[in-house]
Amino acid sequence: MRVTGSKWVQSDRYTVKLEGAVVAGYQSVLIALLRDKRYVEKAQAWADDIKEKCTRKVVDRLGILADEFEIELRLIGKNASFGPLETRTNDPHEIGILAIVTAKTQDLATEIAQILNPYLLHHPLTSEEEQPTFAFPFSPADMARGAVYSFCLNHVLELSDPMDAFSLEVLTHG
Amino acid sequence: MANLGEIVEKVRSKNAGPFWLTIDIFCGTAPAFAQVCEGLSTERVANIFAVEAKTLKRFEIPSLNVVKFSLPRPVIQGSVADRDMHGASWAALLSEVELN
Repeated sequence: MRVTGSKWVQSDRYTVKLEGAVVAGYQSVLIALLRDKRYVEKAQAWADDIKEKCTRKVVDRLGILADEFEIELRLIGKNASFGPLETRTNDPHEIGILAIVTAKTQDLATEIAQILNPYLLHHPLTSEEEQPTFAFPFSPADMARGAVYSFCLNHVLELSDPMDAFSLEVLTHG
Repeated sequence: MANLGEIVEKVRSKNAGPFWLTIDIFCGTAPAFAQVCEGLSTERVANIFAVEAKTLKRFEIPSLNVVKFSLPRPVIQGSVADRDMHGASWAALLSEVELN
C-alpha cells in the first residue's frame, strides 16, 4: 500500500499524553476438563453452583468479604470468548474450565485457588449422586500468575510550555 | 443399540498408582451385568485406549454386578504428555462405546 498527500498540521496547543496503570490484584488460575456428557450439558449450572458455594466457603474460612476477591469460571468451548454476548449454542462434547481467581495478594489468590481446587475436581451436580472426578491437565492444578494491572490514568495534559511538567537535572561525571 | 453408559449405573475411572488406570463398570442388575460381560470384549476396550489387549486385566465380579478393567496408563501420570492427572475422563470414553 502507498500513502501520499500526508500533511503536517501544526496544533495551536502543546499537549502531553499521560497513561498510567495500577496493580488491580494478583491472580491464580486453574484448568479443568469436563468430558462426561451430563456435566458438559449442564456445565453452566455446575460452574454457577461452584462459584456460589466456593465464594461462601472462602468468606467463612478466611474471614474476608466477598468483594475482596473474585472467582470467575470461563467455559472454553461454550462461551469463554464472549461470555454473555455469545450467540452460538453448539453442542460440544467437552468443555474446558478456565478458573481465574483475583485477590489482593498472591498468597491470598493462591489460597483461594486451593480452596476452589476440590470443587473443580469433584463437585457433583446434585447431592444425591456419587462424587464425580474431572480431569486436571496439571498438578499442582493452581498456577500463580502474578500481578494484574488496570488503566488508572488516560489523560491529555495541556502545557503552555513543553517543559512545564518536567524538570531537567544535569549531572556531570568525571 | 445402546451405549454402555445408558445400560449401566455408573462407569468411573481413576489412577491405580502412576503407571496404571482402572475403570469400574457398575452394572446395577444381573441382566445388565450379563449384557456387559457378553457385549464388551477385552479387545474392544484395548482398542479404545490404543493399548495391546494382552496388557489389560479384566475382572468380572457377579456378586457385585461389576466389570472392571485395569490397564497400563498410555501416558505415565504427571509426565509432560499427560492430559488427565487423575485418570478421571477415561470412564467417559468407555461409557460412550456401543455394546455388541
